[in-house]
Amino acid sequence: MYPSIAAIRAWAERTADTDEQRPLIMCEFSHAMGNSNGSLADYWAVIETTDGLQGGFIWDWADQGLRAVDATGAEHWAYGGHFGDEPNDATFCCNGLVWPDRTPKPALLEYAYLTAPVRFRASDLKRGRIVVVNMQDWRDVDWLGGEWDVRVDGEVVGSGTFDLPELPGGFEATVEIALPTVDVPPGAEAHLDLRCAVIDEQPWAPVGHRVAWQQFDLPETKQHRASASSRSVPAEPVALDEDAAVAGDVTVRWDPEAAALFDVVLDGRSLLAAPVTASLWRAPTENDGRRLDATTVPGALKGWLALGLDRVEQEGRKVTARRKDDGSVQVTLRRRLHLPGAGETVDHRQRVNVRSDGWVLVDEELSLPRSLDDLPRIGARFEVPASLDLLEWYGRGPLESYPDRESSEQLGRWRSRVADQYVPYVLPQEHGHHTDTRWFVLADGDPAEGGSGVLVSATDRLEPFGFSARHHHDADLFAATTTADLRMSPTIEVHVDLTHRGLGTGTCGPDTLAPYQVTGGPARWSWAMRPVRAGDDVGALARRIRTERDT
Amino acid sequence: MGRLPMRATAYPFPDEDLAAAGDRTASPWFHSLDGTWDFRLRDRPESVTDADVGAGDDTGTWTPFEVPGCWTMHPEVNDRPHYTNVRMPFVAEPPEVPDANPTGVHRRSFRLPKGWKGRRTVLHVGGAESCLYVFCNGEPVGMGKDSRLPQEFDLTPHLRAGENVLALVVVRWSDGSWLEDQDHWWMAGLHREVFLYSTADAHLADVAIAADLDEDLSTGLLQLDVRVDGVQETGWRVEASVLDESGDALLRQPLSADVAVFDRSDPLAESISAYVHRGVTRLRERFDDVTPWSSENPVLHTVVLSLLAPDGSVVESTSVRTGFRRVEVVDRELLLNGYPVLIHGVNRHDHDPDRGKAVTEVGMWDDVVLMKQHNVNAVRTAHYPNDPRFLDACDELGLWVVDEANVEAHARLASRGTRGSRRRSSTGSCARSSATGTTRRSSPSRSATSQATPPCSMLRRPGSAGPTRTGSCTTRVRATPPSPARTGPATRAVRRTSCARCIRRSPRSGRGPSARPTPTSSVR
Repeated sequence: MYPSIAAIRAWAERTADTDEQRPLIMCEFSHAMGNSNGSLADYWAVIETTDGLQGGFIWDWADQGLRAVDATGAEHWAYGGHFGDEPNDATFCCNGLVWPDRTPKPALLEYAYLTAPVRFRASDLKRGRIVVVNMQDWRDVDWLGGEWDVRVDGEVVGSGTFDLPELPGGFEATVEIALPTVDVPPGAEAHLDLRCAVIDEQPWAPVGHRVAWQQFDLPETKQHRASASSRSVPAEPVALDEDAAVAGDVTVRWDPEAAALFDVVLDGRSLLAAPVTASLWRAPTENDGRRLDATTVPGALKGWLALGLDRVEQEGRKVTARRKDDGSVQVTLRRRLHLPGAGETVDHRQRVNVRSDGWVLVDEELSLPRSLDDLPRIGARFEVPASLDLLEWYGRGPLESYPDRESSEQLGRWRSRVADQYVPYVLPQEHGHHTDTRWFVLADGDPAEGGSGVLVSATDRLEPFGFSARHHHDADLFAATTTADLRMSPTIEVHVDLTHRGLGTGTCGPDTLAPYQVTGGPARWSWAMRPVRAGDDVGALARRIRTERDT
Repeated sequence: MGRLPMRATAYPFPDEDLAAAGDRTASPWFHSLDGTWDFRLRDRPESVTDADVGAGDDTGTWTPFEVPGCWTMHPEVNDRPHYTNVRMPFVAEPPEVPDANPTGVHRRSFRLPKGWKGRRTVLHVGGAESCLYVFCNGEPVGMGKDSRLPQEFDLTPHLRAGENVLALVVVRWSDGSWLEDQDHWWMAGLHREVFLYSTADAHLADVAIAADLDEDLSTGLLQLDVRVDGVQETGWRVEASVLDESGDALLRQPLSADVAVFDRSDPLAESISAYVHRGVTRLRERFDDVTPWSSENPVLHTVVLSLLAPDGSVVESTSVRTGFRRVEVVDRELLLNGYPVLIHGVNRHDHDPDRGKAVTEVGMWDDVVLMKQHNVNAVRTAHYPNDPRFLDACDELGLWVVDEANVEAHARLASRGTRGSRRRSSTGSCARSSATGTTRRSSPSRSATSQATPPCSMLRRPGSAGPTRTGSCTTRVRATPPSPARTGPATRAVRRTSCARCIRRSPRSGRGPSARPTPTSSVR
């Protein structure tokens, strides 16, 4: 049970051309405890392409949490130990693809995506030619209808439906969809979303229920040439004040003692609630280590706690600030991270470039020793005030995604209240991460309708990042044992990650696979932030900063 | 002890039309006992009194209690759920269990429905965790174990006119706990439905249905093994008709066979009868061009069975829904109706966040619907047989089922390598023990529920556990022996027909991840 991908592949090779008659159908695999089911897509790819492998049964369907109220009257899911039951195995009864009340977890969507009855393959996207593959064994696809969206930089600019061909189980055919010609601004991306939804009511699904979805690059779509004057005309040069840079109505402040950027002020209003620091920590998933369970040696978590990644101290070392010839101000902040458990130190240098157009570009450099071979994450962390609780991002969504569990989530411009980023795993843990992010904005309202806030963007078209924005901070998640005693912070914790550890299935089965682990060694990355105000086109602003280096 | 043999799920109806419709609540011979019972918790089985079970004057107080229900989920009952994975929730050596062993007395009264007098009345207890004693009007009726299989008892000799009192005493820990011992919540109570049904002396006792598909993948092969009890003379017949999805009969004339009369005067034949299936009437038929059952096209047929008296009158009818399907394991492929179906499965435990193991019928259907909505095509009933109504939902909506037996003995399996003396607790012997409700070790007096100190005087009554056999259920993935003849050619023929429409078949190997969406992650 719970064999690794290498093990099932090896079994298939070993039994080929023998008198073995049985296929391998895993009676239990991909343990769904907490935020889990990493590499499900990797398993599925091997299963589908290897003779002798024929699928399996995920462990398991529903979290066995029991509805309970704590001493304060707050409702939560009870697990082993909440009834005075000794001995017990704590949350090990909560391994479901759905919560106890049958709300699907994001991992169930990943499974549904991989096992869809219809799959698409690009044939000639320029002509809208798509191969429709009926993944069913018997049934025609006549109970399903096709839907498409064309997205430009994540925004839907055209939609329509198409008929699926008559197609018995196991067959494929090509269809042609009349896609519109859309304007794609310089540096923008275009994608085609395809979906299959129920058109004949099923005993188990209403009309409109989505059973398959996929996304394709639309590289052939008409693109404008980049115009030379895409950069805005420089405004007043940035003023260098004492421990601050002022670009018009934007002021960027740093703390010389802590050597940390601690605020970005727009029209007298603070947009940061805690300074920008480096983060190597996440609230551990149960796969990282079962922290409640004394009988199980925690996995990666054990090493992290030994290093002291949960209590890193940041020491301010040096600050230098200067005006640059282009009118911007560059501040270099040098700090040292102390990992108290290991006695290790890590030097952190941030070059912050405050520009007259309001952008704050951050170049990060972390001198991570190579001996740190399995980290939760490498990224920047800060906080913003709770008032900036409207989130919009261009990246994978709408649900959370992780490097090894992201297939079901597709590129788009997604919106959410920050409170809705909370994913209420029975034992509070890391959640709400979004991979392949181009930009995100946190604002007190839609900037197009008078809201203002802060925009965070990649600085390179080819280097998207991972992020999360949550009222539930890492420290609070790590301290909580139920959803009821999880504290909701008055501020929003934001992570902008260069890399983030995958999820794996380490509670019972293989840990996060090597390609999805975060290893040490010197790390360098860049990102940018900018206050946004009423009327700003955040998509256009972010596109410009991401493509600046192209022009 | 005192239990009737295990049987397939089927309900008695007075005529074929009602049986074909299959709504058991429409049968005058079905009577649910679900609802509010009286409940009282004792600290151990020895504390159960005669008064508790209806054999004496009772002055105590009772708590109203919903059956089905786990008393461990009841706010007013002081006995809580317990969760362990591998280890046992108490310290003991098998088959012993703690002296303090919560014991729930469930009691209610009922009147025999009209028309039941003079017939045979059977009590069906869908699931009792973990050991059940049955009393009717204060008299011991029987006992049994296995928390996840139904138990049936013949109440007829214990009934009286007017009000009858039924007491179901459930003991939380038993030697069965050691055998079952799965990784899930330890609950306690009557977590599945309780009902009565009525039959004549001569009745349909069991039916095993095999609805196979021939190698051509279109000819249905139906075999019915019908066990009839209570027939003393020749001239009785069993008839069967088969209805398609729209209720139309597949045969002009029903299948028919004489009921073999079983010579009850021969004690040897009597004692081995159930083991060698004497008295079983077999019906077989081939059907051309049936539509097979699959998870994608869950086409069910209804088999309507009737028992006819020598005068030709229908004494009882029943129905079972089934689907024609073929299951083979060949060349490292599990072939379902000839196709190597990729299993998108999930494991499922019975679990309700408010009711514990006492899942509702709505909850069972909701689970299957939610699985189907997320492209799941198979479920494994980890790790025990489920309520038959869950299997009904799988049959009807389309899920392949791996139906597990109720035995994991997790704590002892894990210690096998280190404590060699316990290796004899193999799953084989566990299963046998579990089924018959006996243990091999003679038990000291501490053992609360295996042999010693039953409540009241129950176990002094002579009797033997009946033969056991798991019920035959429809549409399960069953391990059939590999067929010597491949179905390959037929499969290919099916596909080639479709190729005439100029549609290219996507080869199995072409199911690879080539159609994965782009772009791939480039975070790192």
